[in-house]
Amino acid sequence: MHAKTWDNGGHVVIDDRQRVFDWIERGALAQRDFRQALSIAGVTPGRDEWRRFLMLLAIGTGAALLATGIVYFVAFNWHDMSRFAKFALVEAAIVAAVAACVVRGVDSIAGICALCAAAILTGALLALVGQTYQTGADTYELFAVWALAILPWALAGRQPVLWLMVLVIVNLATQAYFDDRHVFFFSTGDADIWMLFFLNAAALALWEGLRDAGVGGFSATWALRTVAVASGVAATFVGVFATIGTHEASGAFAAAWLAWLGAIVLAFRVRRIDVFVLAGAVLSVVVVVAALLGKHFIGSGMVVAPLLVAAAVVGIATGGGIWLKSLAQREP
Amino acid sequence: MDTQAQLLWSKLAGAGLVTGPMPPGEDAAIPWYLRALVGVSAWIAAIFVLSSVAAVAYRIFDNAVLSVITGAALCVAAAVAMRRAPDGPFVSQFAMAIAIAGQVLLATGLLHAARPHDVLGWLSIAGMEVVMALAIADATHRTLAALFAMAALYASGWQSYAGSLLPVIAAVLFTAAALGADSSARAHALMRPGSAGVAVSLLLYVPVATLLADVPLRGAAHPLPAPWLQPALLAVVFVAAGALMLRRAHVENGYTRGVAMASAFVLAAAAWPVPGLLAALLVTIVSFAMGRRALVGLGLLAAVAMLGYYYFSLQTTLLVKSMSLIVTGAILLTCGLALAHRGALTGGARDA
Repeated sequence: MHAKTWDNGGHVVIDDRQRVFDWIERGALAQRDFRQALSIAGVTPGRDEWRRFLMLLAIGTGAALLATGIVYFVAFNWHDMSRFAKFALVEAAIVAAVAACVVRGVDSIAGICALCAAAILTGALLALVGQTYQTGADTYELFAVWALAILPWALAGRQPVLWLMVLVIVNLATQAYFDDRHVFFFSTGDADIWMLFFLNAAALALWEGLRDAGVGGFSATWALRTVAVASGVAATFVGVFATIGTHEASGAFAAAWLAWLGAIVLAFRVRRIDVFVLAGAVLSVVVVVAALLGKHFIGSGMVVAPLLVAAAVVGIATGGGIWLKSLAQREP
Repeated sequence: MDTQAQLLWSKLAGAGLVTGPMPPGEDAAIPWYLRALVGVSAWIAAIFVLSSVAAVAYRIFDNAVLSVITGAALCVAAAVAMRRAPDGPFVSQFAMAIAIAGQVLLATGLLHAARPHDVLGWLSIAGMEVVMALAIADATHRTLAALFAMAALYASGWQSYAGSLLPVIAAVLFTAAALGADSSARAHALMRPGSAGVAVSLLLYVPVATLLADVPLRGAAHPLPAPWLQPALLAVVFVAAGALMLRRAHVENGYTRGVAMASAFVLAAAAWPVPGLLAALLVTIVSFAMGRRALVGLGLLAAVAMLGYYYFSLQTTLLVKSMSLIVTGAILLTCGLALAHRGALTGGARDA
């Protein structure tokens, strides 16, 4: 396959394929030659890519199914099996997974999958402890301890997927903490919204900083973009909350959302260019502005008000699109 | 024009496929996430356009004829605007919002007009979406139109046995459209975005059907008299697609083909009780073959979600679920490690 087909931008594949067809449409390339042209462009995987992909799919899916199966088994709470046998089963599976990682090497597909399986099984082990000894721990405590327990593997493994697992579990712990205290969205408390916003924004800032510093495990663009999506969703919630409802904290919400927006532009436009993250920021602006204008204009009784809001939404998306497209040409 | 295009042009020239200087002026293709931005924004704008129509004359929504006429007028206006100003980004995006609003109005009118024959109404909507996909040559719009067409098809089958077979039809449609997209430039412009819409509908089928099953609706989904038929047919499509992909990739090594097909059979058998898992894996593999990274990611994400959903499904006990997952996982791991071992022996891929 063409060396650039699977680069971090994710759009190179589309570009080369699209170019071939564009040139055919313009008559610069003969229709009968398009298969050969696609082959030269390298937009379809070759033999080695297929083998690697199938290997990843089989090992990854296999490890995921094995780990999930053991989690389900623990959840079944089979009374015919002694508690010691249950602990032995889960602990043996964790040891086997870690041993497989050590044998295969943490940078190999098998090693990464084994370490991820071990991380999932650690959660099962903690759940088994709670189930067996009725520790009375809250759900958020289980998640928090789980995140802490797999942290050394994330540090040692230096794999983005492990760090993403840690982030997901910390998010779940945060959500569970507030759920346990019966603080839900649209209730009097805004603490959960703030916490998720700050948590994911801090995660994105930290990830970007570690990526810049060249720390292993943080260089993959797809992983940073995944964190950016989490941060963007939380920030957009904050932005929408600033515009609708009767929150006393509307001003603080608005300031936080604007600060997040400024930080995104600074990090992903001024310091370096990442069009994907900036596209997310533009989408956030579209959603928040639509909510703001919708609230103020639709209740005004003006018949054309919704059309004006639609035009504003399209205007922002169009302007943002032109800006991002020009940046995409310069994206390394 | 960027250097990558120049590099590709040079390679094609070196192979004797093109001559002379590279055609000037064309832009690089728009990344998928910019198309997603346009699509979501157009949807939001369409909601406000519909609000505007309702503010002018809310009775339009209650009258089949008025809905159809207004919707058709909006669709025609949008199609004309997009044809006349294909390079005017504001006009074309606003036209897309108008087109979506028009399609919602048309769909409302068609459903009203078809009552009490709901199936006919939904089938008409699916047909209308196909016409819109052909009429408006915009990739984002074609993806959305394909998604709406499939949603209407699913809805048409909701109260019949045919509904249970629609995921199978969607799987066949997706595979055919994804592969057919490379047959010519014209097919590429139509089928590439269309196949993306069908893929998303396929991935959304199980969660939406599950959600709808919990909501009291008129009528209910009719499961097939033979509940094994749908997963069995999906398994056939999956294995056939796997074989087709290997052929297209010119994987001639018998060992690799054998292990890959064995994995496909195991996956097809294992995914039997997990709703949606096989469809997600089909989208993943076909998308990989076509070099569509975003759909590969979406397929994998859906596969993980389906495994999570399996925990809550009430078809069987957790003990049976866990045993089936553990056995299948072990077999798949063996297949994967066999491929890795073979690679190490032949000096193929670095990894193990």
